[in-house]
Amino acid sequence: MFIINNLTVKYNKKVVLNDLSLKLDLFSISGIIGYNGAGKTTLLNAIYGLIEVPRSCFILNNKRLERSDIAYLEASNFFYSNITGRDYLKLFHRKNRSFNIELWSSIFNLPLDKFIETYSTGMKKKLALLGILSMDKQIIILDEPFNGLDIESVMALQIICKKLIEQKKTIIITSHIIESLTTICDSISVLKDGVIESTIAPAEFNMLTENITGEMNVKYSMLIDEAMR
Amino acid sequence: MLSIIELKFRRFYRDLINSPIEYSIVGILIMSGLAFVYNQFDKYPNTYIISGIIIYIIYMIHSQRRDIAFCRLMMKSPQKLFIAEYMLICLPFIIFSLIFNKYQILLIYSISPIVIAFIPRFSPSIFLQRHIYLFGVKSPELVSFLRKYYWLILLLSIVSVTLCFIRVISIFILLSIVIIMSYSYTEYEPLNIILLEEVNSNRFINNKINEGFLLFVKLGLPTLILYPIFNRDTWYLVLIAPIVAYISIVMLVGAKYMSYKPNNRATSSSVILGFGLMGTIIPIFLPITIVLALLYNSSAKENLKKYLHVYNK
Repeated sequence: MFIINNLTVKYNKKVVLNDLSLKLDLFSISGIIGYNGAGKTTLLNAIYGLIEVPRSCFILNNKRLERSDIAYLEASNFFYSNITGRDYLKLFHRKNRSFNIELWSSIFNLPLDKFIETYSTGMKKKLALLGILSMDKQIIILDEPFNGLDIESVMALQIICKKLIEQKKTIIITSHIIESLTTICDSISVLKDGVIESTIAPAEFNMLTENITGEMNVKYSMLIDEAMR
Repeated sequence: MLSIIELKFRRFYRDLINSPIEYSIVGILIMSGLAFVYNQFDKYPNTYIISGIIIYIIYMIHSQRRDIAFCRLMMKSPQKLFIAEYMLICLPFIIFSLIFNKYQILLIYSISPIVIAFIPRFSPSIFLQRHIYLFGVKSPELVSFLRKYYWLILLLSIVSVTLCFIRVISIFILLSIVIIMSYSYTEYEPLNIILLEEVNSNRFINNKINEGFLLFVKLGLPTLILYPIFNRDTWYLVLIAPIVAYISIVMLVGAKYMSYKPNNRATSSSVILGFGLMGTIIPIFLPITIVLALLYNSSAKENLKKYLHVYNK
């Protein structure tokens, strides 16, 4: 079990995560959804240690979670200029020789010998993802991994996630697109106002989608009608 | 074109107003520099050396421009804007040339901005990949640096070797490579890449310094070997290059990692760092470089402990 205990994150005086607690099953895919500014990325940054919070908040199998247990795909990815995709993956390859660069890059059709600055947004995302996968860590955190990916790559990523679970990995994933999560997640937690409002099992995913769609319709229909008048 | 130049002047004016202390220092330095140039302008060969340095600086500005795409979008031939800007930089020197009747120098200052404005941006080639790995470079920032400045570094190395028979000059040219190297230390890598090393903060910083220093030694090896052969009376001066380069690299690596935050651009004060970098080629500034190297190095190790605490046990 991966447990987050009483996590509070403040930016200046603004409380972003308020005494948040969450229990996630190991060897499963746990989704986290929430509106913009709900604190999804802050939560992931805190787990990874990019934000200074007591590490005792994070317990993995009764031990403190260490950063070395985690591979984290950030929402925005940085690459040095004048570096090829192969150069980038070679960095990771030094630590994990068993990772087959050619085979993995062929899954995503990446032109490894071209400079990364010539890649499209989706290609950069896929390259960063391959770097993360090659790290072979126990916990894999994916922040908005579907952003910029084409349909083919979305499906490939979903299959990869399922295969990773078979290899005893634990995946925490966020997305703005509910459908991309409902097809692969074993549970989805709804983050609202800095706390986990609810955690939902697959049987209730349809209801979750309907609730969110209904809520959005009520909230925006009238406003949009008025704006378009 | 005039509206873009006006926009740039407005931006410069706003910067000037918003940080009066730093820019006052820079202003005083520019005025002192111009006074120094005026003082040296009538002396041979100083006037030629100064014009060479100024043209080189203008070329560096041109090769590092980030607004080329914007300028192309706004105007049909952005070269006109570049020429106008470079001419403005040259203006004081053009005036000095007229005052001292140095018409050859006047010609250099008048033609160079036009030539530089038309120099196409060097786009790094994949073909250079193999050559770069000959240097044994593994750090992505150094691979990126070598790809970007390969030809410039090659040119500097060749000039440095060919001028070995003249005292000191080749050492200064060699040290100017360190200034170009500072480009490598302006971007922060993702934390994943830092964690890949699986070493504590001390070792991480030391590895970065050593790799940068080794690259400098490899690039300057021919000069470091040939200089003492041609200058037997002042052979010991060749030791200055690696020592000063090492201090500068310690400062640059320290400046990068003292304020490291994943996925951002380096935020250490560029003005102070600029003074430190000047110490690489202008001896009077070297004490600043040494002090900054010491301060930045310890701050960098302390800052990285936050991220590498797993390996700091």
